[in-house]
Amino acid sequence: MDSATASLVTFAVGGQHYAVDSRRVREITGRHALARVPHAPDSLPGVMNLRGAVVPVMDLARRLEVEGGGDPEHNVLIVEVPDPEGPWSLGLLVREVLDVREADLSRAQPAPELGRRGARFTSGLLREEDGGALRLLDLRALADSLRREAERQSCTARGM
Amino acid sequence: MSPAPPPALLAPLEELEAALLELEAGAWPAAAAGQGAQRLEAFRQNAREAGLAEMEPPAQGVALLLELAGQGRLELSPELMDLLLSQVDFLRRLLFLLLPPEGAAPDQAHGPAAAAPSGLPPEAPAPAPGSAGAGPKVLKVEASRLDALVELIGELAISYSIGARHEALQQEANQGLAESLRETGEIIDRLERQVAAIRRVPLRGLFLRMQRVAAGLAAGLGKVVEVGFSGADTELDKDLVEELADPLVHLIRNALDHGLESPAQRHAAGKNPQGRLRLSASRREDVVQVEVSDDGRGLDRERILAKAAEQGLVQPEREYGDQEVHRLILQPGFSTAAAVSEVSGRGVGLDVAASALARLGGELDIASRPGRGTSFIMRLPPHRAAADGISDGVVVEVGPETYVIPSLHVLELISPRPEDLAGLGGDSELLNLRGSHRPLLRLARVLEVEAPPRPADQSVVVMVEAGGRLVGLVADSFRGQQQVVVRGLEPRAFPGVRVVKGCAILGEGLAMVLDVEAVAAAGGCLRAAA
Repeated sequence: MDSATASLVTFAVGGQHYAVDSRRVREITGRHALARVPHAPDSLPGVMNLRGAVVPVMDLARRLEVEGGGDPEHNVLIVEVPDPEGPWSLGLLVREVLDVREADLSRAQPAPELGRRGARFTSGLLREEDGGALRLLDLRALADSLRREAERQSCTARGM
Repeated sequence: MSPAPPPALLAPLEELEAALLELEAGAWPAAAAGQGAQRLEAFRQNAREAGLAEMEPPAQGVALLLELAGQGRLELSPELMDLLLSQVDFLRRLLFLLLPPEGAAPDQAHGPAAAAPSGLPPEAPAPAPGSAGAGPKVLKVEASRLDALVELIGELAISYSIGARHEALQQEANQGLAESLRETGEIIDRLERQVAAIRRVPLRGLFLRMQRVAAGLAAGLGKVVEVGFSGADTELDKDLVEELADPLVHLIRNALDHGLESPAQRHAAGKNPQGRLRLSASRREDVVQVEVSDDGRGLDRERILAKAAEQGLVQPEREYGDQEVHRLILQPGFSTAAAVSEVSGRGVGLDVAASALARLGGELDIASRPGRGTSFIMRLPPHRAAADGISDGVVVEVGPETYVIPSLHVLELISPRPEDLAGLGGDSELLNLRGSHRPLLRLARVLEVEAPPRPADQSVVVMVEAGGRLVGLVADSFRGQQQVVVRGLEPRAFPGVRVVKGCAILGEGLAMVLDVEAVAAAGGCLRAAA
């Protein structure tokens, strides 16, 4: 196997196809009851109970600012967010999990849609067989955006 | 910063120091000084095994002094005591300097077992290392292994708690299973108490260190102070003991700098020119109280109020109780010191101590009498308010959501009558609680719960103490008081969330555990805590 070949879990959010490295995916579960966390960023609708562990869950559609946010029928993709202090678990609400496939990452192109919504969370694009684009999701960027969102919210909404 | 030396190295030094201080107080005969030499021998051996052979020659020098004193060939004069204590201090500092960076330290597992710091009672000298002495056998365990054990027990308690709530256990046919599960639960409780006890260490080592700190600071300030302590056998979780050091130093500095008068001032006031600073500790049920008291001038109520008015912290027309006035000095940046002194710097310190204590799940209180002295009272749980664990809480409903309020903060639960409530216009409401008016905070508003507003007389009020004030938290209904399994919230996902300190697993779902101080601050009942 080529060193640039990776196994990707692909899924659909807001009519677009995304992928994350399967080594970052812990599991995929059906819908779960979420408990809301007060003062949390809007893109985090709550936390879920995953066999006794409390896992934050992100509404990916809302975070990427695409259609389909707030859909209760979503699946949850549990991923490990890489972090210098150690990885942490994050649940991603996704419309549908598509498949697991091998892909040659050396063929990934830089995201051409700079400036478009959600582009900053995409680390690259792969061309699919039907000509569509598969966006490689940047988990670090997603996680980093939470801190900025939290700062913005605490400044405006609560004036604290 | 260099890492803390392993306890196998520090413990003998602390025991030696304790023994010397008792000698100094005349508590045991000079011949017992020889016992101190044994502690040094333990230290020397441990240092050698830790690859710190450089520590040996200076330790030998101190040992020689002690032996000579033990044989009566050197008189135990104050000068000798000073020399010995400063040598022990020297050894400790050298230890910190020589210690290899974290991770590079050689394996301590084979080091000889040294007794936990406990002083050196004359009638029962501590056994020499390696020898089969009387008294309980002591085993040294790496702290990380203990932490792993605590974590596992937490997992066990959580998985038990989830299983024990399974609805199948309600059925008649499963009563045998339910009974054996109950027994399992009791065993888990005992396991938790045991492991918590293992983590507890006496405060003696910390107090001894603080005594030296205080003596050094007092000398620098030109104050004559006798520093004493009591209740040093009171035990606290080892991590809490470590984290208590900084707040203690702040409080001691404050007492020495602002609390105690100069010898001349004391003399003029008809007091003993030598001031007294006392560290004391006690435990009452589930609260450990650590107190720093001085017999100095006490807090000056008028001066504090004037200063607070200047900084806009008080309303001029309002009457303030003594407690409220005292607490003003804990506000960030508040200082009444006329002169900026070297020791207390810009007057920061008390607010730092107060917020450090809040992070440990404790609180800081002040008692003061003019001319008689001031006490800073720290109250904290004997164990770290773990992000993960089991804790006792009051479960309430707010709209469609469920919240847990830690019982530690709850004073009482009230179903208010309409005549007890008073609106102040806008969102402000007060509750008449046996003649005193207490501010009410609607949890639905503070926590931004989507729910139609409900009149307060159809609500319930949980009276809590937050930052020294009584505040009523208004919820829709009580669900009861119970033990809950608490998990920490991932801080990297919720960096801006202060009002929640964890998430309780309530069998059928999750409920946020509220941080009462932060809720009060967010609701405007307190100035926002840093």
